[in-house]
Amino acid sequence: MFTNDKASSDVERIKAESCGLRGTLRESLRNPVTGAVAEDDVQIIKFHGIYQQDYRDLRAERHQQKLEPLYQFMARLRLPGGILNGTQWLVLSEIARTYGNGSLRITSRQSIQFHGLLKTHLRSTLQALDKALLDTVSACGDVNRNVIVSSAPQRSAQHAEVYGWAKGIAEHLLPQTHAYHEIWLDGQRVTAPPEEDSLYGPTYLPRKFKIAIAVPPHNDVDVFTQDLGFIAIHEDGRLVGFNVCVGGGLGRSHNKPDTYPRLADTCGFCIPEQALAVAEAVLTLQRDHGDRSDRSHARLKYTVDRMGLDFFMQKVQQHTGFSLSPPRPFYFETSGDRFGWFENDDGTSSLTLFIPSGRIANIEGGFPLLSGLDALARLHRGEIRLTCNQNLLIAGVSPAERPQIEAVLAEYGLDRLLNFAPIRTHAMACVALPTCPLAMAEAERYLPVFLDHMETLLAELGLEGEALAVRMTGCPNGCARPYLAEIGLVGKAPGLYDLYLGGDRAGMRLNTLYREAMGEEALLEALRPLLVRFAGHRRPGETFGDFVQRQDLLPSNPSHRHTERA
Amino acid sequence: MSTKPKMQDILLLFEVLRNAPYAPAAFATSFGAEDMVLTDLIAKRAPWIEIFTLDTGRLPEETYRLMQETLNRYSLPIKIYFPEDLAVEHYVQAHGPNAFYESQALRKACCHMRKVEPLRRALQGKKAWLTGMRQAQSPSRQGLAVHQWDEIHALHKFNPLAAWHNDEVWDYIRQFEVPYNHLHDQGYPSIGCAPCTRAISPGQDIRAGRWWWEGADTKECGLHIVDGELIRVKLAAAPKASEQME
Repeated sequence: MFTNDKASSDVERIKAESCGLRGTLRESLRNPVTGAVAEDDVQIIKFHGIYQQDYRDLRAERHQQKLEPLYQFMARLRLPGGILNGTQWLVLSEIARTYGNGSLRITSRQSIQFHGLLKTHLRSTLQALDKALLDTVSACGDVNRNVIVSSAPQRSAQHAEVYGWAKGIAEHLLPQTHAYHEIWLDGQRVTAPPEEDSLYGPTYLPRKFKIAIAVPPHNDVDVFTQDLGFIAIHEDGRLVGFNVCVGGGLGRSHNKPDTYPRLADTCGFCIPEQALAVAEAVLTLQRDHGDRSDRSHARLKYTVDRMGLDFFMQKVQQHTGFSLSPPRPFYFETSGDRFGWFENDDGTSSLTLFIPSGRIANIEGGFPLLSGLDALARLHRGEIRLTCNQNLLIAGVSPAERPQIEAVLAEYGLDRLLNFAPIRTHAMACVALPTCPLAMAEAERYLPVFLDHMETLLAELGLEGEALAVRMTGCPNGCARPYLAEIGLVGKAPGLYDLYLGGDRAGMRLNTLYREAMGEEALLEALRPLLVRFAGHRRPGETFGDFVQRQDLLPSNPSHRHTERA
Repeated sequence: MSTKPKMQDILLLFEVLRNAPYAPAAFATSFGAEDMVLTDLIAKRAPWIEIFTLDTGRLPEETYRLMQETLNRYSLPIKIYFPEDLAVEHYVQAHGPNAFYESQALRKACCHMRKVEPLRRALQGKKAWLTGMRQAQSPSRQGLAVHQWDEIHALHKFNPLAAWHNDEVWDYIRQFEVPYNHLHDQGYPSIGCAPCTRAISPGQDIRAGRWWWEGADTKECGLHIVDGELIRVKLAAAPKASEQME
């Protein structure tokens, strides 16, 4: 057997005792003495799409005042394919202003997060979402997470079809417990808990599980970073099936060499009607064979490496009862978004708006994004789509609607978002401080400052037009997928980052650790000579990531899996 | 009992359905009491939702009368879908006009050609559909949610009245003088085709008068239930999907 007989982690106990993900959440919500939930409930509430956090900028001050930390919660939507409409958007914005910190945050999985919710407002928040047909079920926790789909802006019919499959997979892999409904919505028990969950069993998965569908040539979902990736294969404009990719994942831990980012392997091809069975098989095998003793070693990528890819895929085929055919050829052009207006194949057009770090707020001196997008949401009749690069699409704009949308953009000054340098529009940062409890360094708040320096440096070298992909995270867990970036910055301690170099722009190659624990000045000093060399010696069209690989400027680093793909 | 707060939720739901990714949305009415409530609401507040019905060819006379009354009252376009003529001709010639009493297989085949197949056509090109289903209508609908993903048609499915009580439906009908099927006054709470619906006695299950000669566990025609399970309940491994649809 591949299951370990090592002791299970404490989270396993909590799940098993949770009575179908109920825990003591009802009691925790009623307890007026603290702003937090009970210790075990901190784990359980994740399965409901909510993280307990505290406002870290005030931690020391409150400690001095002998106050408990300022507990607050982050709630994340389950939003397959990142699709909403204007009416729903206005509900989100209202919640952010009423209960949240006045901002919405687009995530790297095409979702929306609210930050700064108080315990006493959680129920009202989730009830307001429910009325707008939205929920936060399974947005976090050891279950299948939000299923993401290429936003493929220009091909409306193809997108709609692929979205249908994604939605089917997402609904099929939902836990069967009624706990969410009971605790947050009507408070009534529909059945006697705990309901048996034939898919997940009583302890759910060993760790989170991520699924994406990419529509080539767009790899905006970063399909090789998923536990399970599907690459849509279209022939003569018709969806014939999906390539199946297994075992990707980026999270690692500092000073734990047996944790590593891994890109998924492309294992075969299935027809669309088989995708659900493949997803269920891979998820079930991970449920039964994943490492439940060490959470930093529990993702599917480790299970696959331990069992061996071929054996794992044999098991998948045993489970589904059919075999996969060889993968079909595909080509990815980019993992980034294309900004501005594009004509779609159905006579409508779409606008991709750059949203700096996915943060939507009315920041003083900045862009009135919250108000501006409210105004757009009020008049737009098509979809609003979120991208995995934390940007936003106004999709399906009719020719009649377009001038109105442009007028609103101009009124709120949002048209200026289309004029940013490519290094800014292609950069990504995770949330990090002050809300994320895992952050070791700044990311979202510091990225703009770092990019100021980079922009100056690039301009100096005549590289200002380069769409260099910079990705920054506050910890090694990889939410902004830094291990695929041309320049990846991974937070180690306040003001210190590990520098990774050499990713490509289509999400096909991991980068390499170049230098460790560097401050701002050291980072810029390390990058300058490389960029100088790049400016002078690059081949036409060559990217910085490809250049440092070709010139062999990177150390070989055995602790960081480097997988090259053709 | 006030229907006010639930009404606001439904109006918000209709607003959400006005736009992508839920538009175009269509409401399937069979002119039951719940359907009349939704028809009234859609006519007054949400004309962007298309209304259609499946005329099986065997509906009770009262239903046709109500259909006409509804068209007169709301001056709404209601799309009426019929079964495929060849399928009906073939079935009737092979098995006789009332073969549905003979076996469950023949009954389901009849439901399939008169309802399930026309529904599939009606939903083509739609992004979402609405029904008047309620949790209290039968034990199998107890866990019914307002928002479901219909795996068979790959569409969003909405049951805005899922949590409504019977009294709330009738309060609404009386308050707004909504037309309704007079069979309801004669002990028919759930009305389908004429040969397959009969009145029930007080205290009986609401759907007890449907296909009454069959067992209690089969009170669905196949529009909302497949192999005895609500559609939202898991679909088995994909290769079986096509079998399930048959």
